[in-house]
Amino acid sequence: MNDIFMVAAIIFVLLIFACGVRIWRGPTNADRMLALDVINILVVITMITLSLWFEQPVIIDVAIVYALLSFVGTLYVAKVIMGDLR
Amino acid sequence: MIDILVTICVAISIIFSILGVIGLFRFPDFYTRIHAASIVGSLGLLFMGAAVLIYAGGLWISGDEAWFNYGAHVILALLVMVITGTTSMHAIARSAHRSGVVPMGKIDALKEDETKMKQQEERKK
Repeated sequence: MNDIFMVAAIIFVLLIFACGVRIWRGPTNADRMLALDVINILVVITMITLSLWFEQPVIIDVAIVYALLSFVGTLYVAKVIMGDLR
Repeated sequence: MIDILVTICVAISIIFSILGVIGLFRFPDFYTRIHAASIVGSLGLLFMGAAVLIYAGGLWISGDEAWFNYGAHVILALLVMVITGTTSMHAIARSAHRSGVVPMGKIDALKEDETKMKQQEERKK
């Protein structure tokens, strides 16, 4: 049972690195922001998986706080790209 | 039985996350990449939450006290992610359209609709 969660966490971390490639060579700034948002969601999924792997429900609380903070960051970067903030 | 259900949910989550990241690389346009990125936020996260809920149900059947911790926290996390994920995707698409990202087919239907709506408002005045 724990092996499944270990494999899932490793695969999600590899997917995070794959999204980093899209951040590195994205054609526009909007692509980079989209890949960053996908990375935030994947980090939340990875934290939920880790809470099952180590059998500690506290990690899900960390995932909730990370989701809220990354939401604020995404909205701020969206305003910067849109040109409202200089 | 519960182990099999949890394994199936985790496998579905992994499959949809991999499909979303592949789509993030293979689609030719920004506005089509949003579809692939939304798969990770909707199906990948919801099936992982379903796996945790089924795991908590297994703990409840076996008489463990930790099932309420898993269940309540995962439901709160799913609620937060459903609200913030859709809102942030909308903000990304809106800012990209305002900053001048052109679709692949060179046909921007939203810009035409905006001009039509402005003309209708002027007629009403």
